Amino acid sequence: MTLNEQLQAIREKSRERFPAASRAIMERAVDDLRRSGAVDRVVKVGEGAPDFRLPNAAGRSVDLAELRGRGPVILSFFRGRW
Amino acid sequence: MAELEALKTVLPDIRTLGATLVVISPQVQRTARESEHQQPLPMEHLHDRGNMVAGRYGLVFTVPEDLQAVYRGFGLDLAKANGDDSWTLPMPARFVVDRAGVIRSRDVDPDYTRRAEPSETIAVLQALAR
Repeated sequence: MTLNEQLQAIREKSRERFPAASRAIMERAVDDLRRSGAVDRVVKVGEGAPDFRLPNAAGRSVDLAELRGRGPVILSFFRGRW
Repeated sequence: MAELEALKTVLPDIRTLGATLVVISPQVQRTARESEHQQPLPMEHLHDRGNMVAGRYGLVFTVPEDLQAVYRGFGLDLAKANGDDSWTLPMPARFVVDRAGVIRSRDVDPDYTRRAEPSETIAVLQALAR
């Protein structure tokens, strides 16, 4: 199953799981974010990726500049495990 | 979490292409299991407290108050989960950054249930390696 097939299954499940009123609020928040043009403010292809230093799960500090010195880096931002 | 699991399945390709997967979330982490793995994975899971780095990438939004109430109703207290009371989140996004620090691909959608396939990202890495 591709990731998008899995996500489609999750969307269908959430339609059963959440009350209609809650779903309406969740969907409106996404629509509002889309209409606000938030995506236009995200860094773009061809621009420099802002460098950073953040702690990993073991508490060690990790530096983007150091990682990309070794090869390309996939950066995946996500909300959390919930 | 479906996306993280899907990305983990392509870690062998990521390794072959000399790349690293860096996963960034604002959530407080509890375990260090990944870093204790015997053969180190080409992967880092980083904690972005207060979404400071996500903000510099232009990804941060504040959860509207009515949605905060919905989340609280589900038992999700973002202030507690993230260790800051801003009720901000990053829009989920995936970038490929080359060795010079230039962004070579970007996938971002305000709808957190829409993500690019890992295979699309692998294709970007393959093109960079050519």
